[in-house]
Parts: sequence; C-alpha cells; structure tokens
Amino acid sequence: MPEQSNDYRVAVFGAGGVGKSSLVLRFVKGTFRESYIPTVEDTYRQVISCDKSICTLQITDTTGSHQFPAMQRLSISKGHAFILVYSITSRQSLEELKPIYEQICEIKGDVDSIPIMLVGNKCDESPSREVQSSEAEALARSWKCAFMETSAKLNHNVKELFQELLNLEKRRTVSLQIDGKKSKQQKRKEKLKGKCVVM
Amino acid sequence: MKPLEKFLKKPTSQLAGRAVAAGPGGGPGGRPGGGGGPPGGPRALQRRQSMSRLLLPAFLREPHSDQGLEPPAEEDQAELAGVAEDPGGGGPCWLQLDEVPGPLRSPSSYSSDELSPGEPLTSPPWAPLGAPERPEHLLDRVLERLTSGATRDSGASDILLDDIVLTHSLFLPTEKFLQALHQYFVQAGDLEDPEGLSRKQACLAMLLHFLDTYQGLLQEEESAGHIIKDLYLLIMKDESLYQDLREDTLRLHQLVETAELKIPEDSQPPSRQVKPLFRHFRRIDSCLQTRVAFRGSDEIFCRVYMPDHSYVTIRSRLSASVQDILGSVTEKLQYSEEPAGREETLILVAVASSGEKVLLQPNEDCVFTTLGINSHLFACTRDSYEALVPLPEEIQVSPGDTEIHRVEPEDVANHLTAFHWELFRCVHELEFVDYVFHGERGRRETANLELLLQRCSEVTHWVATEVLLCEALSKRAQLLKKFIKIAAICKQNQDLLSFYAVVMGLDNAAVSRLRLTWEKLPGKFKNLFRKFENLTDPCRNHKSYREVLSKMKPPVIPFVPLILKDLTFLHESSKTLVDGLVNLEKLHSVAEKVRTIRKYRSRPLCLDMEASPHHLQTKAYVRQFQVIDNQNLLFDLSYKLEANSQ
Repeated sequence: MPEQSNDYRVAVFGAGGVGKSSLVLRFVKGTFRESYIPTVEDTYRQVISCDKSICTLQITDTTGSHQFPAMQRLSISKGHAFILVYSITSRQSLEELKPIYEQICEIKGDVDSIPIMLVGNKCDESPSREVQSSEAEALARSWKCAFMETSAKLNHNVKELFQELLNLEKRRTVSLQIDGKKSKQQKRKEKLKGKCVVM
Repeated sequence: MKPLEKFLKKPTSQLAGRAVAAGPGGGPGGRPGGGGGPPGGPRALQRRQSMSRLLLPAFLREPHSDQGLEPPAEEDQAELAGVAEDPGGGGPCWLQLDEVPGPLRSPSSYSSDELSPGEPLTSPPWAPLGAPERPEHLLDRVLERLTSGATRDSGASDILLDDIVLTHSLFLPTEKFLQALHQYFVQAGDLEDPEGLSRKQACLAMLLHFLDTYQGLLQEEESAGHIIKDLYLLIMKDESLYQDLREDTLRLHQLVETAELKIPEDSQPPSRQVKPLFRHFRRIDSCLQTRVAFRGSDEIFCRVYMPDHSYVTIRSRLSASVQDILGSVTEKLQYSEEPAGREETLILVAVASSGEKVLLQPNEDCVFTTLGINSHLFACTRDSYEALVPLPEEIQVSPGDTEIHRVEPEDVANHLTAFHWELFRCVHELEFVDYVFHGERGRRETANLELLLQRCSEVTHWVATEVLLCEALSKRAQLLKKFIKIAAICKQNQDLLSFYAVVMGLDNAAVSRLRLTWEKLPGKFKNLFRKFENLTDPCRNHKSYREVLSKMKPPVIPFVPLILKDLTFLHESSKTLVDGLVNLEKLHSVAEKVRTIRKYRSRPLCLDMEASPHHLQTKAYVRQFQVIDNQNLLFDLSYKLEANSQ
C-alpha cells in the first residue's frame, strides 16, 4: 500500500472499558473524565520528531467492541506501532488481547521489529486487582514486547508509555521531544504548572 | 457551481422569465445567461443541495437548454390553446393568478407545455368537489364525497383518496390532518343511521389508506401515532357493528401493527442496530448487506474532523441537529475541562474536497445525507474557520491494473442495477413530495432520497475518476469502451439512473476533452455513445429520454433527478393555496407523479446474475467507489494525460 504521508501511526487496542481513550486523551489533551463514552474510532495527531525532522504522530483509538472486524484489520495493516491495553482489575480484558495480538502477528508477519506495548491500566485501583504484574510481564516476554502499568486517572506512566513505545522503534528515530521548540501542548502545560506553583 | 441546483433551478427561472415576459411589460422571454430567476428560487431545493454536488454536464450545455426551454412561440400558443379549449374535464377553474390575468396565463398551462410534454398537468378523474375549500375543511369535503360517491365510481374515489393522502402535507400538517379525521369520525353520527355508518366507513377507508401509504414512516411521528391510536381504539369500540367491514378492520389491525404503534407501554423498543453511513464510513464489511431504508431515529456513526485532521467518531441519530452533533463532539474532546480560554463554542463546517466550505447553522438537522461525496464535517472554533483545509485525496494515479480493469462490464452493470434498485426501493413515496415541498410542512427526513442522489453523483464521478487515473492511452481507450458497454447494459436492464450517470461521467468536460483517447475508440462505439448522448440530451424537455422511458414496463429505475425537476416545476408553476383555498389540480398532478414512481417499482427486479468467482469482490467494488469529486483536480489529471488536446 503506497504511503502518501510520513505519519507515524500508533493504534491502541483492548477490550471495552479498559481505558484506551482515557490513556490517549490524557496523553494528547492532558485531561481525564470519569464518564464512559464507548469509542468507535478516533484519531489524534501530534507533532513529534522523526529522524531529525518533524513528523506527525497519529494515534488511533479503536473500539473495544468487536463490531467492526474490517476496521480492526485496517488499523493493524496501517499501523506502525501498537499499544495493547487491559485493565488490571479484569482478567477477562487481558484474555481478550490474545486474539488481537495474534491478528497483529498474522497481518504484520514479522513482529520482532514492530513496537508493541502491553499496558495494564487502572493501576490506581489495585485493591480490586485481578492481574498480577508478574503475570503480565511473563506474557509480554512470550510476546516479545514491552510491558508497563499505567493510570490515566492519576497520570501515572502515561507520557512514559508513549515515549517507551517510540523508543522501541528501531527502523527510525522517533521521539516525543522536538528539538529546539516545544509544542503548544507542552507550553500550555508548563504555563499551567507555573500557575499551580503560584497558587 | 452547483450543478444539481442549476439543473433544477434553471428551467424554473426560465419559466418565471416567461411569465414576466407575457405580462404587460413584454420583452424578451429567454434569459440565456441564467441567474435572473425569481429571488425566492426553489427554496426547497436550494436547501442543502449546494453540498450534494451532482454534476450534470449534459444539462448545462447552453445551446441545448436554449433549445429546450424556449420552444417556438407558435407551438407554445397551440399548447396553451389546447388547454384553454378543454374546460370540461378538470375541476372548477377557480384558480386565481397573481402574475397576469387572462385564460392563456394559467400557471398550469405553462406547466403542461413546459414541464413534461409526456405528462401534461392532468385533470383529476373525480368529479369536481364543488366550491374550493380552505385547508381545514377540505378533508371534510373529501370525506363527504367518499361517503356518497364510493359506490358510484370507486376508481375515481380511490384516486381522490390517494391524491389527498399523498399530498395532504402540502396544505395541512400530518398531525392536523389526522386530528381532522378523528374529529370527523367523532361527529359522524350514530351507526344506526345509514349516513352515519357510511361516514364512518369513509373515515376508515381514509385511515387505512393513510396507514398503507405511511407504514414505517409513522414511527418517526410520535404525535401522529397517538392520534391514530386514539382513532383506532374508537373504531374498535364499534367493531361488532361493522358487519360488512370485517376485512377492513382486520387490515387495520395489521397496519397499526406494522407501523409499530400497538406497542403497549413497554419499557424499550428492541434496540436497533447502528447503521453505518457508508459514504463517510466506508470500510465496513456490511457494505455487502442489502440496504434497508434509513429513518430519522436510526443511529449512525459519523466522523467529525478537527482542523489538524484528527477526528472523532460520534454515534448520533440520523436526524440529529448540528447542535446535537457539536454537543457530542465537545463531550468527546472534553472541552469542558479545558482552561477557560479554550471554552469557545465550536462551529460545524462541511468542507468539500475542493476546499469549499459551508458553515452549518446550529438548528439545521439531518445534515449527514446532504453532504457532498468527498465532503467532511469539521468542528472548529470560529477563528480557525478560515484556516480549514480539506483532507488529502485518498486516491492515487494507477498504472492501470486496478479493479475496473479486471472486472467484466456485464458484472459491473448488473451490480450497479441491483444496488440502485435497492437504493431506489428504500426511498419512500412521500420523500419525493417532502423533498420538493419542503418549505411548506414540518421537517421530515428525506435521507433515502438524498442518498440516492448522492450515489448518482458518485457514479458520475467514478467514471471520470477511473478514466482519468489511467495513464496508458490504449488502456484508457479500453476503459471508455468498457464504460460505454456498461451504460448499454444498464439501459438494457431498464436502469436509467445508472445509464444516465455513466453517460454523464463520460460527458464530464475533463474526460470529453481527451481527443486522442476518443479517437482510438472503434467507430461502432463512437456511434453508440453518440446515441446515448442524444438520449440524455435535455432538449425539448428531455423528449427522447421520456419517450424511451414511456415504452418501458416495470421494473424501471428512472433517472430520479428528472422526477424531482418535474415536481419542482409543478411546485413553482402554481400555488398550493390561492386566497387560502386549496389548489386541488396541483395536488392531483403531484400525486400523479408519485404514482408513476409507484408504477416503476410495481414489479420486483430479477437480474440473471451469474455467480462468478469474483462475484463478491465485484459487488463490494461497485458498492463503494473511491472517487475524486474535485473538478479542478479532474482537469489537472486530464491536462497531464493529454496536454494539448483541444
């Protein structure tokens, strides 16, 4: 398939309600909401650096329901890197990642060079934890991918997750940092932080 | 340029020009330049047509339109005289004309001459109803007639009934219409009284016909549903007394059930599946499923883009207002939690692939189906409106081994016909009326009709896109040949919609200027195409097309835009109410037009399709074309292929 843009595409998969959108929105917009709106498919764009020039990080937030297999296939075939999200409070949600991982292998063939992150979200809810991190780590090892626990709610490990994912990309150098200038997003965050200090 | 709008508007303005010319001032009747139409214009059609870009090059050619729209004066006179000589058959000639006095200026006489030579504004077969009526009393009068006249000439009564049911929304909103029916039933008198009984029978007949016509549409009209339920219960109370009407009451049961009005106060109706709107959500497996009609309450998915081309997919009612859509977007984007400065209200803009932008008003609704082929909805703040840029084109020039080069013309044509039959069948009869007479009634969705128009435009652009994306000259000539074959088979299938669309695609100026390509076409095909061009020629109000159409027996897929044009003429050429009195002749003519559509669909379409190995692949290809709808881009491609072709 001919690629007309130099976008770097990340697709986020996982069962419904594990917090895919929350992670993405926390990363892209820095916000978090308690209410749940099921996602069909959203895509966010952000400027990052790639091989010393600027490119667009395109994050596709997918649906947790299995309504549209064709869309999932397309997101996989177009994606460069993948985030597989489960909730640490639901073993079922971890189970549901397996067919997705298998489909990625099937479509992409050689998975070794493809950045994949296994992510256990909602680590703020550890009292109702069902999946031990050691268990997920073992799964990540067998899948030859990286693993991390996050909390979109507490903004724990969210930015790190995306940075780590980009670090796994060996075919080119992609980074969230844009040398020399900062994105508007970052500037605004800093401004906000400044205000917080004053308060 | 808004071709469909032009297509529908131009002759109308022409008509107005003539009306003025015939008036005291005199002066030249023709307005070849276009643009001086009545300031009001066909309001209904202007609605959002601007965004549904239907390219109809054949209609826009000036010489033809001049020829077609400005018939010689003599012929004109003869026609008018013919109408004037025939005062007997019609209803009472009480029409008052505000333009010009005199019998020759009857607006309906214009229409019979200009609109549809094949189908002049016909006089109703039912005998005059007496003095003209105000909208609120017309129904009573009709019911009286049905009460007394049902036995005398049931054919004429049926037509009267049908006329009123199909067009009542022109003079009375559905809810009021049903209220009037309800009231008439209540006041009909005792059942012991033979007159009371036949009055109630007339009511029952009207209600049955109404339900029969509306069917599923009623689910969208809650208040109308309540009145029908009331009336239904009233009728059922005396059920035992209708000795002769057992069949009718049984049918009433059935119809009320089909309309899903009988649901007792259950908790929730069965949850409906969300239907993807394919044009804006194309990569869905379900494109192979048979299309079913859309209703306003259906939930659909829709992508809304941001200025940076990120997007959110929202789930929304098809009939959602712009305000609702923006509400969903805001919620998804969590704007509420942004710092106060960002809490600017969003606007919704439709951006076409050419970059043309239309700002949608918050109270507009049902916008999804009125978007142009490659138009997208954008949500942005007011200050970023100017900076909005269309999404990049999805299609690339191919060396000539794409799907269109692989498929057989027979397969493509048959799949086109099958799909367009599905789409055509999804359009409710009343959508045609509602689409044209939109301004005079409450909002009712015409989504299925809009989707059919969109598709027509899509096919037209598909033809141009495929030809212009093919770089090799000989292969391109092959493609021309293939498309001409496809048009021929569509015509054979009596699918004039696909036929027209394909011919118009080949007639696209960016395609027709490819001299070298056309020269490579065998003479046989050149001649065939010339014939096709004649058939789609708009001259003398599409005379040749109408002749061919009139010889066809159902099932037929007509070129739907022309039906809308004819209805627009009926609408624009005479008033619905004159001094507050209803113009029955107009109602009848509109209903006649709708009945022709009914006739086209009166028999099922059976295509003899062989299940070829690539059957499903071809089907999927035909059902979701990827097209370029940006005419400038099509011209660019054309000039790249043959620079000095002129």
